[in-house]
Amino acid sequence: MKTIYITCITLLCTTYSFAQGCSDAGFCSLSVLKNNVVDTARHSLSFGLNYGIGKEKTHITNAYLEYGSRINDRLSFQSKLTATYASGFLGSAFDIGDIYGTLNYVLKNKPGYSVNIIGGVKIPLTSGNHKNGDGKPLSLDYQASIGTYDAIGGINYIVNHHWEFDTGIQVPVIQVNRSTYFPDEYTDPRAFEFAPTNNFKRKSDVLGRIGYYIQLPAAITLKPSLLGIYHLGNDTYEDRFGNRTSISGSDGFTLNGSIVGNKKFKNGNSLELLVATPFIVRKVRPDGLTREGVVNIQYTIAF
Amino acid sequence: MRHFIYWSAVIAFTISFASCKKETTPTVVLNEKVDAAAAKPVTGSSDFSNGSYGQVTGTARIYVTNGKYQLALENFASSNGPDLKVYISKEQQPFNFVNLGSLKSTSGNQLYDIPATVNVKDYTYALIYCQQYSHLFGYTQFTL
Repeated sequence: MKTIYITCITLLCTTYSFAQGCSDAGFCSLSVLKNNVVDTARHSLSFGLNYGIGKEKTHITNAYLEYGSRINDRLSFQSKLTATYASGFLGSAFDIGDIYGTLNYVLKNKPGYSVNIIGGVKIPLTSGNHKNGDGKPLSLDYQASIGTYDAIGGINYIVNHHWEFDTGIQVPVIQVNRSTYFPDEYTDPRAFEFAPTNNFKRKSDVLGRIGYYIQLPAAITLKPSLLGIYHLGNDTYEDRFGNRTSISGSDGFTLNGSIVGNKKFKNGNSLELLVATPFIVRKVRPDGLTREGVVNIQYTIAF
Repeated sequence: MRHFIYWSAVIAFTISFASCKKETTPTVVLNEKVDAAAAKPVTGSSDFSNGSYGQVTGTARIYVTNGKYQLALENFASSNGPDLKVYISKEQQPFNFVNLGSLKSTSGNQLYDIPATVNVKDYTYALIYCQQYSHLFGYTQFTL
């Protein structure tokens, strides 16, 4: 096992040179792909809040509500609604973002290991075209949603209740992004740090995560993990002549490190704290997934 | 528990309400004008007509100033919309066009730079176009 772990880390650290930052296109913070802590409650309701600072000191605060329901011993359902407030030198914006629906299925649950599979969808509730107070389009860093209908799939594999291996894929199936951002509409040269995203179209991501669960006294679980995300191609936008144009350098690899702590209370409720930061980022991140670090707190009520 | 569910519903409703679409084009009256001493008109001054989704009045004209081309909207007024853009186009609909940027205001005199690579003689229309919903608010055909 140690050999596999070291090999995977070595591959993650040396194979790629660019990545996408401590991002949340969605799937890496979903359900068992985020943290698979045993939960026997029939229903759960979570409220979460996270904060991060993106490119050019864009402050991004994201809130979400998540509802989970165990249908039977193997099957469970989760839904999640997000909202985002972002502010920076271009302006500020607040809006609801996306709604997620996912199904988890426990494929295997043996004494030595467990395998969960996850499948779901992400539905955008906005189209990524908020303006600032002067009516100028804001870059996608400020938008609550990238504006893509995504199909999500993943596998969660836990060995001896400690080692965790995840893989996942997030595929934009329908793209309804209506961004009209061109940096040259601004006189501030910092605007050019954000790539043009007029009628933006995004490529798929694949995910790989290695984590290790550490059981502490007082029903506290810690999980440090390494999360690699590969963006499978260059994103595109429509230039001023209506021609679809590739955004060079927007493909590639992200390597994030995170640690999540979970405190379970006697009544079944739980408190979760997550901190994450990217180690390797993509050369260009037009989708706005540029946070340099994220702190997330979540409280879950089980009932 | 009931309080938590109640407040969760209130938060969800509030953020949904707060996200309603807004008409985002500024309404402050602008008065941008070409340098009368240096600018030469490339086209005549042509009146806007209403498109299917908006009301637009005023005129459009292309000027060149020291080799730089600009579209001037003069005595301009438009109904507001969420995502209004200024195009020059080869047709009355935006099939072959150049996006000159977001409409700066719904009223007043306004200037829009035309990229240097554009042969302005190829583009015979100016459009006021809601890009997000593909709605034509107004158009004019340049006169010579």
